[in-house]
Amino acid sequence: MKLDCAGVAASGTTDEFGSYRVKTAAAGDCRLTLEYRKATPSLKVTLYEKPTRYDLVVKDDAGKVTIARK
Amino acid sequence: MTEEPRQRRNRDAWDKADIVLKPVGGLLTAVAVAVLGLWTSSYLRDRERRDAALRERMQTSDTNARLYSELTSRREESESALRKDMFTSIINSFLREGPATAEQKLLNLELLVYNFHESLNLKPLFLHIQREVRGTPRQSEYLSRLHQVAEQVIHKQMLVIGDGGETFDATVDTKKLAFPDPDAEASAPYVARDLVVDGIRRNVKLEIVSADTASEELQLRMTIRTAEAGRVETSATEFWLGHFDFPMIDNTRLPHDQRLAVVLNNFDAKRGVADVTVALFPGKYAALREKPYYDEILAKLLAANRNVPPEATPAPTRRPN
Repeated sequence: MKLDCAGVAASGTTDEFGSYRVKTAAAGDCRLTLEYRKATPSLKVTLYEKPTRYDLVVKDDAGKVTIARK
Repeated sequence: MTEEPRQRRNRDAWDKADIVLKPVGGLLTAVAVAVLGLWTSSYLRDRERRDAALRERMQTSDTNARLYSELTSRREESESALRKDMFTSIINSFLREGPATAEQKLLNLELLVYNFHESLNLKPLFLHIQREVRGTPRQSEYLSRLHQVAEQVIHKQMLVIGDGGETFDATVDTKKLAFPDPDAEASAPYVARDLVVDGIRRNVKLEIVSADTASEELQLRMTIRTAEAGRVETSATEFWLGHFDFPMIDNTRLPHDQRLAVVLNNFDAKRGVADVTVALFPGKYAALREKPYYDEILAKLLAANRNVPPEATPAPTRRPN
């Protein structure tokens, strides 16, 4: 998982259950990108001062991989 | 002299068999009667023994169950008494006029929340303490503690609710009063999702009516549509949502003993965004203070007796809270 907040980048990996945690000091609008089976779907996320939880669902529609909030 | 031997000669094999088998037949009948008698009495003795053992087992099990229920009810009684005393002493500290400091009040609130968050709606107390600590020298520390307690309780309750229910998250644009599309610049005036709990599918539509950035609260309108028995039941409710609304306590009651709650996860007044979670869950996860509706209990029992799913039984018509 890669998190890009206006140039400030942070990254993390998912565990065997798909859980992840990415830490950054940035806040506001960011883009979360997932590396999954040679695809890199991404999603706009909002970060707050307090930790934010994004439960994501990965969909594979005929080869087109997308992620969306649960 | 000549008659007797003729008679003897006339007896054939059948006559001889008759002579031999008559006493043998009697003997066999007597043996059969004796065997049957023995077998019957042994069977009856066995059955009696089995019945006696079963009666004894049931008696032991009854005694154990009675003992267990007595112990449980006594433990419940003593726990309730302890909780009652604890509750009275803490709540009195708020009601009694006295020189209690903000620190003491906050500590009492923490005690109340951690011990009674499933039974009481403590939002008024949170708001009261929030008003009191504003303007004090340690305002930011106290406010952060207050929010931390509320967050922890909401997390605990959502963990339980999420186990038996269904949820979805949404980001709110508090300036445009809309839901931004994560993949585009546009935003939608509402979000609507289908949630299924206990085999009942409900469409939940969430709209933002207004936002108060000072108190970090959102005014929401929620419309719930449920298709059942060939028609669509629609209920709508409007409410304010803040940081001190706990889902187990503050929720909308729906037919079939289900609840719908919305939780405020984050609020960024500067950027004009907030994050909410909508949860639909069975009534058994709701607060202990809520009384069940008797007609719903009867409908559940009837459904269980008929071995049919609860959605097949008509729900009592009732408006949400």
